[in-house]
Amino acid sequence: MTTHEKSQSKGARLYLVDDDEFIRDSLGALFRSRNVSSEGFADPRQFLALWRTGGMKDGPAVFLLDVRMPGMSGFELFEHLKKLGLPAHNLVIFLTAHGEISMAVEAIKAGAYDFLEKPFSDNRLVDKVIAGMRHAETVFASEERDRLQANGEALTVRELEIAERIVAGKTNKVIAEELFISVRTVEVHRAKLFYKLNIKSAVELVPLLKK
Amino acid sequence: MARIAGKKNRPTGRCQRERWHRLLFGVNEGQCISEILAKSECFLRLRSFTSGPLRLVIPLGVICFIVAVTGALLLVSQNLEHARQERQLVSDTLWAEQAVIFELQRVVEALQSLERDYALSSQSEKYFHVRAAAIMQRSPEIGRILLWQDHGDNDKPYVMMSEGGGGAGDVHATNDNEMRTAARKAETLRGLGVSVFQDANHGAYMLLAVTTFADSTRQVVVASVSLDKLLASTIPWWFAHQTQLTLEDFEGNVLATRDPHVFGKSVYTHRLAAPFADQTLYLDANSTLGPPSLIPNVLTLAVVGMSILLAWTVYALWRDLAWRTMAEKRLRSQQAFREAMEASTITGMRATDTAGVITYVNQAYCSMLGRSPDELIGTRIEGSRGELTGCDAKAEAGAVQKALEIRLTRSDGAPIDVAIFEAPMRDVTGAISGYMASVLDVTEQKRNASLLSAQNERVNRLSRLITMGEMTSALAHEMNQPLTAINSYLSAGKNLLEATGHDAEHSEAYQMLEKARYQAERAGLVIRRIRQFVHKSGPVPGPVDMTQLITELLPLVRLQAPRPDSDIVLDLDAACPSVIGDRVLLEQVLLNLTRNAFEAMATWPSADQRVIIAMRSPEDDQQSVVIEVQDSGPGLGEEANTILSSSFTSTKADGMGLGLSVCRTALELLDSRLVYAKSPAGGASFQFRLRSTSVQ
Repeated sequence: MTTHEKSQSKGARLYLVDDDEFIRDSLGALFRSRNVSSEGFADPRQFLALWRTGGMKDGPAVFLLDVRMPGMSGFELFEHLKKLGLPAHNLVIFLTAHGEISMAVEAIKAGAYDFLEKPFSDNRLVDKVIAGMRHAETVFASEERDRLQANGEALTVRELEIAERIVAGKTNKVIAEELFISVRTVEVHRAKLFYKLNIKSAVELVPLLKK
Repeated sequence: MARIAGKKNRPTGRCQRERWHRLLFGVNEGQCISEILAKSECFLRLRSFTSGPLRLVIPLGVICFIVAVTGALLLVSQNLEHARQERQLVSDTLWAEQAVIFELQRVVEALQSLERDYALSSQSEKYFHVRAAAIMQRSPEIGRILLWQDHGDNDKPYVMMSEGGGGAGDVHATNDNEMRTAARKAETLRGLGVSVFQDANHGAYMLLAVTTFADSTRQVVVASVSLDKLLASTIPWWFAHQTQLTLEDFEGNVLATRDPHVFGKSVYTHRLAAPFADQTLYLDANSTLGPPSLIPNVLTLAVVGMSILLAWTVYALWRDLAWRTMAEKRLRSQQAFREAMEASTITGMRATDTAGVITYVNQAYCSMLGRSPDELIGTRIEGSRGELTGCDAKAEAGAVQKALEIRLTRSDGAPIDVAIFEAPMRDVTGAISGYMASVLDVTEQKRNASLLSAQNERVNRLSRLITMGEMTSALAHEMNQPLTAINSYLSAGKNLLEATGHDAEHSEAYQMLEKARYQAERAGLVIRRIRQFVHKSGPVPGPVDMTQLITELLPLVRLQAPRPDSDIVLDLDAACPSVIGDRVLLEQVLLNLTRNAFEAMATWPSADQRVIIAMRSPEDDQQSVVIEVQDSGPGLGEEANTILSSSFTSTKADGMGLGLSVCRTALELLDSRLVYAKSPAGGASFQFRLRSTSVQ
């Protein structure tokens, strides 16, 4: 058994939907042991309702769905989600039993990311989930870039200069001195820039300017 | 019918003799009747001309003829007798009249002679007396004779009285006037003068006056003749005895009667005029004989009696014949009825004698064995020994024996299973003369039973499999959950140990966690292997022709129906392709669904009970086939869909019975799903979809 890299995923969230409390708890423990935080849901309907009303923060996420649940099966939940418009950066991984593999294959054809077979739950499972989360993040980032690209062409030359300097970690005062403008002007440009890119902090600016 | 039909190709010789032997010694009653009827055909043909309207007319005609002849005979003889009597009376009366007239003429002659002789005898008074007395003696009807002499002025008659007629003489003596009148009449007529007088006391009398004019002295001899006595002396007793004879004048007044105690019956009467001198008397005869009786004597009576007897005999004969004809007709119709019944019944009938030799078989028995009656009659029955001893023991108690199932062999060698009920036949003395057996062909029934049991066996095996599959599935699910949790916890534990850093993998705790995880994984593998095993022995899907399957299944479906005439409709689209499935599983699904349908309609009136099995390809997907089972029952509520879509399997019998659960699992094994809907008629409709073989 090799040491696993610290796999704290930065953006993607992990949601676990399973009616069995101990499954939720044990899988939660397993993910935690690999520094992956997860959020558990016992009721698929509740999860669906929450997702639908926007109670969940939009962003890259992996939904780990149990297939056999009372009231609504994991497949049904997946269908509902697809019908309501599941974004590409929300991936679905099924937890299946052996008898349901053929159905799980069908589900993958229908757009699910992967499936994991019970009861063989170990680090391979975590690896798959982490891979899924990475994938989700990548998808999300590329989506963001596309969005920024669309918005970025609207930035002025001055704003672009200021943005580059923000990413470089320079303070407003240094930027003002370098560009021979007042600190106040830099602040105005910065606010305009953040507004245009729909971001709130300088950190968010970094991936946008990477291209 | 079988007997008579068999008669046509009846072999002669020994067989024939045996038949007669059996007929004569009466082996069995039914056979005897048919034999007798068959043999009486010849007689019937001879007699057939008497049938029809003639049969009624001939005896009636004979009877009428006898009656008419006898009646005519009697009438003719009566008429003859009547005429004879009448002729007799007429001749007798004529004779009597002759006698009366003759007597009167004799008296007149005697008187003339007296008168003449008296004149010749010089009117001797004594001579007159002597002669008058002689006349009176000879003719008692003369009451008085007197000589009338006319002396001119003095009308003094000379009167002489006769002896012996004292009473009469007294009477007539007072009637001198009448005498004178009679004498004057004779004088006027110059010969004979006759007068008739009525006397209230003594009856009528006749005065005969005779004169000759012998000389100048006019003398007249007058005699008074009593008419009663005249009749009495002239008419003999034998005639008077049977005939009422009276003398009457021309006005019909009775002057004299021969015998006042004899009265005629006015049947035979004759009136004869008796002219005498200037007077005419009428002799009236009225016979005491009545009309001649129709049956005059014993001989006639005997003839009539015999005729009646003859007529009655003819009638009795005719009635007997009619009765016999009717009885025979009834017997024939009954025989025909019996034969038709025997021919129509599917129960084979067979009679054997005590030795086990067949004496009678019906059509059903013959067709059961595929042999003709002649082949069977006279042979010993198969497996007779056990059969007979078994029957004998019970036969004494007089009970119909319990069905005995044996196997017989058809003429083509095929075995047939039959159930035999035997009852003893007894002759008049009560001794057992043979056995009557009704034989039921139960081959089909047995085949059905074995078919059913084979199907049941398959179903049992299948339901065991399904139950095992469901149990395994449930077990796998229930076990997988904790195993997953265990695996996860152990993996998490291992990760945490690793995170502590140095050489954690070689610590004992880590090894233990790893071993525990391995064992948990092994448990999972065991479960997976069990599931695989169950699936491997489960259904083997292959191409199935559903049209053929449903058609062949129909008899079994009918066996489930509460009534054999229940309405089962097949609505099969012949264009549907073959499907992929398991024959036994699909049969069982259909059987369960149809049984549910019949149970749902159990309280329905039988006319409304209908099960429809339909097969078609849906419009949107020609590559699959939909099978539907509909009933006309009350339908199901929403619970049906809940049962069907419930993802948790349970083997417990719920409201719908195990049937639906089995159907659902069986169809899931075939990658299909059972769907419930309300049928257009309001009943339940269960559908499932199968992939056709044309799908790649």
